[in-house]
Amino acid sequence: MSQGQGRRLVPSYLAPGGSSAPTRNSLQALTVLIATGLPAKPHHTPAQQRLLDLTAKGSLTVAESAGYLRLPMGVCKMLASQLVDDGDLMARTPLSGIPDGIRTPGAGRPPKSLLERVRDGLLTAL
Amino acid sequence: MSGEAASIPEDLTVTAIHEVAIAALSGTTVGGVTAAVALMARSRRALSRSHAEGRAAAEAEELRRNEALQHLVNVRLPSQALHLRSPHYPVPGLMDTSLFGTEFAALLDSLQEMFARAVLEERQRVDAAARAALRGACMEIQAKSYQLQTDLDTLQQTCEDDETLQNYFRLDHVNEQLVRLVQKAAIVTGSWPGLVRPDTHLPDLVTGATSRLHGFERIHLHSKLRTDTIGVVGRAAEPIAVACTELLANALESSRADLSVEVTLLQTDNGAVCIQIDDAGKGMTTEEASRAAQLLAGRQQVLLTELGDPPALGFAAIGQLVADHGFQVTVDQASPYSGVRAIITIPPALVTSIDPHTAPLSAMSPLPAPAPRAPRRAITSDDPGAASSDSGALPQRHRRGRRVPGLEERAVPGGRPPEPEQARNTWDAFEQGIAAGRAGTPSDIRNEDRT
Repeated sequence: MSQGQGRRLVPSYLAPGGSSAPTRNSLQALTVLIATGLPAKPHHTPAQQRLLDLTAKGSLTVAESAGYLRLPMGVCKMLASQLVDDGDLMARTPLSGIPDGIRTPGAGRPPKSLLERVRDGLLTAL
Repeated sequence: MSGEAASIPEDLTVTAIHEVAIAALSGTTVGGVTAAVALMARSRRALSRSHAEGRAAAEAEELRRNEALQHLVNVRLPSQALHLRSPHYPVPGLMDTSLFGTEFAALLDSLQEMFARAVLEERQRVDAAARAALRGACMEIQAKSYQLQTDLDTLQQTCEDDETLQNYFRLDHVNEQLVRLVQKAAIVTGSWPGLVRPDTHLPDLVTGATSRLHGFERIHLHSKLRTDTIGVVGRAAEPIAVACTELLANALESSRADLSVEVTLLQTDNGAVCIQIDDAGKGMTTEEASRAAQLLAGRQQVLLTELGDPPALGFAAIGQLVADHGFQVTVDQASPYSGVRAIITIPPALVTSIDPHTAPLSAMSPLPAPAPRAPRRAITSDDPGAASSDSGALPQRHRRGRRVPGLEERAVPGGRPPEPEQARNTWDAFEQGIAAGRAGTPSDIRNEDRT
């Protein structure tokens, strides 16, 4: 019991508001969150308000928001989903141009060889 | 003479023997002998009569003593036992007032005292044994619950699925409530809170306290702290969190399930920080309030047998923590919503300053209050008459304010940390400025002088 130096004080279950489960589960780590400009509502938790503040000045990915808020990725996704449901945030998938139906996680990402060629080209150019 | 013999038989006997002896010594005649015999017979009668009277008195005395003893056994000692359990039971004294002040009465009193002392000592011993047993069990359960907490937290860190995460949240919350119940019992039975925290932000501490309760959604937390640097020193962090949890639990329990509990964090002028908890419940009766004040003062070891069934441990636990750590708790005020206002006052000795950049606040703790600012009127146009002419209302006079460039940007609450590039430039400029200012000034010389 004396290993308390790192003992958690504030649990993550305080972050999402209420017990309502978010309706969508389509957000990914690289989904970009954009504030719609609506003000925070009274029922929003401090964590949700902080997420709105973070995105107020520009768009951020879910992963970056989780880093800034020091929350687990899953929790941050849940917050973002709730805010998207409330209309305070817009979610934009990072890869455009691919129809929703055929997209799978990781698909559509440029192949590694292409990325390596781009890197090499940049290195020679610099 | 016989009347005198009844009152003082010893004297009479002595006198009679004396007379007989004189008569015998001087008795050479028959008349003298007969006189002596008559004397002896008279004195023997007196003697036997006085013996009978003495025996009757002794028997009466013994009867009185027996009655007093029976009264002690049948009435005084049982009432004494009841009185020790609950002081409003009266303890009767001697029944027979004629025994007052006698040695026998003193003996009875000391017997009663001894009985009371023995009962008290035995009660303390039994209670201490019960406390030790409960303490041991609680501390083990607490350790296991903390283990579970760590495991659940690790699972939450990597979980990506919303539904699973919700399930983890539910388990985690149940576990937190379990820790609270066990920790409270352990503290009442003389244990320490069970863990040491580093210096902790006050809003985090209170937020953490709310998370340990069923129905935490009803708790509304407002921070009126002017800065986000206010923290509680490590040794008092967990105790204050526990005290806050118990007061919040009382507030939630004593108010209806659809009423909120308002918690406010305040700074005072003397450096102390207060956690103010207002509920809209029924309030406390006078007896409850005085009992609470007695427990909260934390001056005495509380016996488990005094806490009722089921034992009400909350105030007793707070009392222990108050006595050990030196913060104050009051519950004697009425809240503005007709319930109870509980206040935890954290003295300046237990308040510390924490740099929010190295140890930032949790994302779940309440946002700091915006600093009071002189009211600024929004200026939409340089011409004050333009707006009023549009709306058709009466013309209003506006003070022409000066727009400070950059103020609007700063007014945006929160915001992202500055760009690394920009931060580096700012610091470079700052350090260069300091270096330039120091060069050629006599500050170095002064420093040398001082050392």
